[in-house]
Amino acid sequence: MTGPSSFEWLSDLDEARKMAQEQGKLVLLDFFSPT
Amino acid sequence: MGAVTYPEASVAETITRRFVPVQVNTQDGSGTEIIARYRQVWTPDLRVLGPDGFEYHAWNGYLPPYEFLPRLLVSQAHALLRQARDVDAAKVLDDVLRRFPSSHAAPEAAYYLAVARYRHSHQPEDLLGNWERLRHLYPGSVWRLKQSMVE
Repeated sequence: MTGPSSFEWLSDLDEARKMAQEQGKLVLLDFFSPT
Repeated sequence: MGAVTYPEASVAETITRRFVPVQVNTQDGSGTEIIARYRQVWTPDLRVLGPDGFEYHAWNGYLPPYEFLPRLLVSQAHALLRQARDVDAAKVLDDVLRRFPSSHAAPEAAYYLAVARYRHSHQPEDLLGNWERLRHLYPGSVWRLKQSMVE
């Protein structure tokens, strides 16, 4: 399948919500633990 | 998830095409307000939100790519159903069953595909006929149990 093998995560939920509104998408919020 | 699941090309493509992805670090103090807002308690913790911040769906726990992708798509379908986009939800669920028929998310997809089709058509056969398909394909699943009142 063509397409990105990686992608950038935003760190600002408000920015993500704004982009989702503009692009007609949903937000995927991932709470993660680095360790 | 970052080491195995997210780098997978099909996962990355689906996320970037359908979602705006955002991560919150639960350990460095930067996400305290969001952690409290969404009452996060464990990781991995994935939420599907609308642009207004409304939480449409959520799940916990690591999943490898071949389970994460159908789980993600079913969660998207839940959001579409709750937005009254029944036809769009049915397309996503049908895609899950076609591409990932043996995944853990597949029985749930079969259950809600019946719901999505019925909500669109208002024809009982769309609900009952598709639930019959669920009974045939996933007889031991909890989703079969959830429709067992019609058997």
